[in-house]
Amino acid sequence: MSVDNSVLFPYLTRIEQTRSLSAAAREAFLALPLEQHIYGTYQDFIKEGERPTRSCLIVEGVVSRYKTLRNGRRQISSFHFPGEMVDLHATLLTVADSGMRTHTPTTIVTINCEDILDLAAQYSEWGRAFWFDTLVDASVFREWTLNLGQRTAAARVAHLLLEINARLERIGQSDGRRFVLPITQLDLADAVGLSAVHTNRSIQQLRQSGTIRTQGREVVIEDYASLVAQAGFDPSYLHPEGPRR
Amino acid sequence: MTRYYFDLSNGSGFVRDLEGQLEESLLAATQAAIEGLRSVISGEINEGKAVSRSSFVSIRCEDSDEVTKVYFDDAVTILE
Repeated sequence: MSVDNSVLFPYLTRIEQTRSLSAAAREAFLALPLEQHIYGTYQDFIKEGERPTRSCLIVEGVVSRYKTLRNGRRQISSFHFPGEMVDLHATLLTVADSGMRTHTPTTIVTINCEDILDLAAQYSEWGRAFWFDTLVDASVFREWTLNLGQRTAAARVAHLLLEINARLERIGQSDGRRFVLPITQLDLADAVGLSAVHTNRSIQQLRQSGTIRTQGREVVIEDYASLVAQAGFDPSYLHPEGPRR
Repeated sequence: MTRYYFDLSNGSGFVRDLEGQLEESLLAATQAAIEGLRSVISGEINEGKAVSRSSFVSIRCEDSDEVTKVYFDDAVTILE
């Protein structure tokens, strides 16, 4: 299926917010052949153990990366939002070490891994951009390890809400204080390593402390400074300033 | 699959579950409630908070009142 390359603009815009690309590099990126895939909610589009040949860019929707134990217990290790390349490391790693699934109706375009490698080899600025993206992914994984291992239940939930708020703000889906949480309570629980009951109670604690207000899936941060303090949230791990060069 | 709701009552109050989760059976829902209660209790212990032995999770089904309750003693075994 032929795809209009304008779907690449959000990613390109994000890259160009923090660094400049040569005209040739920009043009080469926009000339990449794409395939579009549309998924419903809770569809696995990459399964652990398979050998992907294409890398994915989210056009619309929310997806997570996760791993499961043999007994079915699931740990979500990251969420991804529109305009993000979710598995750039698949261009070099031959086997998927984790699965990816949708959490909402989702549109994805895929790019052949060989095309990404060729682009990176031909244009060093793309090589650095892709490298930087995977380093930021690793930084988020480190922060989530700290979250799961050391923070209290309420602080884990607060931290994840602040991260989602920051990332949705970057793509215009939060005004910095108010956003629609695009995942269920159970998904949130799977991301913070708690039961759904405990996660619900932690959200209630945050509500009772006056730091957040919720109505359905809408979250309003009423006291940003207090929520940041409760979570120990420092957004520098998201590296919003971009790469060194 | 049925949507079950898990309302928590413990020493620090009552938390109503507005979202629920899909479970294959009441048995699976009961197991989820046990794990939920254990998770809350262990969190309270880890944070040095008091643990209420009167804690319970009330399980509701869609369009119905409580179908069963899971109590502290269902979730935790204490050797005297």
